[in-house]
Amino acid sequence: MTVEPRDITRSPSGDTGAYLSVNDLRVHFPTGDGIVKAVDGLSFSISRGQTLGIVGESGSGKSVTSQAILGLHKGSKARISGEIWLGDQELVGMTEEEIRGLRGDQMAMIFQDPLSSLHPFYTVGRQITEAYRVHNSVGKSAARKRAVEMLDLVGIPNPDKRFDDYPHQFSGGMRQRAMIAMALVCDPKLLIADEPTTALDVTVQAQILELMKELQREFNSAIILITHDLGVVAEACDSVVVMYGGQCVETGTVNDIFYHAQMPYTWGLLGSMPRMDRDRRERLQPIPGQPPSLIQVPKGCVFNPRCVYQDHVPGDLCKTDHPQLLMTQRGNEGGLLPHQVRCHIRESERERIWTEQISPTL
Amino acid sequence: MTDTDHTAFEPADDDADALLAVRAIKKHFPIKQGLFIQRQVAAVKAVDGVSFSLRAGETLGLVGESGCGKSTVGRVVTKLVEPTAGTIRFDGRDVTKLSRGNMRPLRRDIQIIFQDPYSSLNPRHTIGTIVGAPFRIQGTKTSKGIKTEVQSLMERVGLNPEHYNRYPHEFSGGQRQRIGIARAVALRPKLIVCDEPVSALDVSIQAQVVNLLEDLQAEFGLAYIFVAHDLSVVRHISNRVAVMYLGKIMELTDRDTLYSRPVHPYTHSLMSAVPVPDPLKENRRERILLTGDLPSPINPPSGCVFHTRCPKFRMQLSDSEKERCVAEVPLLELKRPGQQAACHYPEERADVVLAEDVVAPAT
Repeated sequence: MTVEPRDITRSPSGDTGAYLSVNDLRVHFPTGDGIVKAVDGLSFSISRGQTLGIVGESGSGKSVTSQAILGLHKGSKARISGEIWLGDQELVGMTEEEIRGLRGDQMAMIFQDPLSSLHPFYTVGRQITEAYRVHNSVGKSAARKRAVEMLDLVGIPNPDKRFDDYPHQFSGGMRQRAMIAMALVCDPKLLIADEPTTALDVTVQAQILELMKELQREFNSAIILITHDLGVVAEACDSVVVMYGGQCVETGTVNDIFYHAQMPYTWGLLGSMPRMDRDRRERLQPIPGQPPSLIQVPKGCVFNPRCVYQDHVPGDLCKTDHPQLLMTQRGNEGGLLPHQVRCHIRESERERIWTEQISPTL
Repeated sequence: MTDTDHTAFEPADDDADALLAVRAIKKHFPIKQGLFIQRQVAAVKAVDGVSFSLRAGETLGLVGESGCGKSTVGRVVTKLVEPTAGTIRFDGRDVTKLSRGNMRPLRRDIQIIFQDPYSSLNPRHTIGTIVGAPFRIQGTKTSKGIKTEVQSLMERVGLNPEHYNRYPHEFSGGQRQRIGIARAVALRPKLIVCDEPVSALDVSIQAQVVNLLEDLQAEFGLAYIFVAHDLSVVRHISNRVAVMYLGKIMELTDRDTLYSRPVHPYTHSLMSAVPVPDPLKENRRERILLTGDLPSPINPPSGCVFHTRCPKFRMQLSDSEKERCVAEVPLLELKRPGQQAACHYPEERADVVLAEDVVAPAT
């Protein structure tokens, strides 16, 4: 296993205002077939009031990352290394008890499927008050008042009556709203939304994204939005991490990613989706092949078995050498998350490919 | 149910060459109550008077929110569920009343691809058995012939023919969808209903499967009914698109017209809700937010079913105009050559998609 040097070193003190800082995070699961390297060397940071998008295919390590931040791997067999700084607290080294005090209070999560993440046996109101009462010593009636307030805030009509409803009495969009109310009941400073709109219709998705933006303005929270939909990223995020095979292959602001993308995988993603906002193309350009196995991660660049731009690199470098995540010339325009790319192709060459071959065909 | 009667006169496309002509079909699922004698107390009006036609080799997209009845239309067309009312003509023949047994020979011509490749393949059957099943059931090939045929099919859809004896769990989601596609095209059907065939797949794999579907269409002259909620994919693959809401077609027209000059307020809000992968454009677009949830199909709103959530109804119409929306069911009729919409006050809007080809309208 090659140990890659830390890409951005960021000390927790004297920081540039990052609220969450993830440094060289690795999450490995030992299994009977070998070690699954679900996340392998990931670094990013995000400040309050900002939204960071994490994009990638299924199995690229997006959700495992969010679970690691919330400490949900504690007590499992996962081997975690690296650092996660939330404000001035380091999360990887914390005990399960300590992190439980933060979870729900300082940081909260919205899951993809609101039907399976709400308990069918308890009323929606009870589930929201439970989260509130764990972290605040208040009585039942005060908690109820707070929960009704939250339901109202997320736009559920008749919150006073709906408080006593069970999840099955809510529609999909309303369940997701209730999940958001539950996540925000303690005013968390960090909100992780794992595919919050994937199971919803576009019209409801638009409502939920709008709601998340409003609430972010109100609470000034940092949001990590995990999604596979680049449209959602363009709409809701400030900066982006593109993940592939457990590794971060490109980071930057939304402008970097959508107007100056430099990693062949990002090009592939942009090229393979049909777009409503451009002239219709005769053919889509899929990325050939399948996502890699995380047990036998390809040698060299993790994307090399599917990459069609290897002839721009001299020799067998793509298959032998693991490229580092390096800052581009555009560099640090975007504030906290600079434009960084993990690719062997020379930067000038990548820029040329983007402007001449990729950008015009999108 | 007197108010549903006049919807039966909706104009269908009268197309003599149509491969499939569906006229005023309804599917009402009964809700029964009672201890000993089950009485029907109400009905879920999943599909409530839908008419369209489809030519050979053509793709019709069906879009709408979940619960709008688009999948039920697909199942009624394939006769997996029996329609409550209406007629289905396939290849010049009325198939509405055909029994299961009489339907069987027709299954060669009408096939379906399901959404979830995990639950639509029997986990205890090998790929060879799954893809070979259509041949065995129809009795068209000897058992030796089946194997060669299945292997050439597997190769055609991009699977390794040597994996003939593998089980579904050994394949990834994209590969499983290819297996489902191989099974559907096995008997060289004329029509395939694709029920959200790429929704469960990653974007890069989705593009592979969409391209495969297009290649197969060109090669075998297939007609598709493409049911999906992703408007971008539907635009890519369809020749014509029907937008559905609460069991009815709201707008039905060719792809380019629908995506550049939609006239129905529901189409407007649906299109404006799709985020486009371009941050600058995304900031400039106006989003027409719908309020509330889809009304219950058990007790749909009177008049125009969309009036309870219609932004135009809420903000622009006068009281007398509103009365018409509440009282009178709008028929799906031609608003412009080739463009049908079910709205009393349609309005052309070119700004909701903000495509480049929309900036300078043709007219």
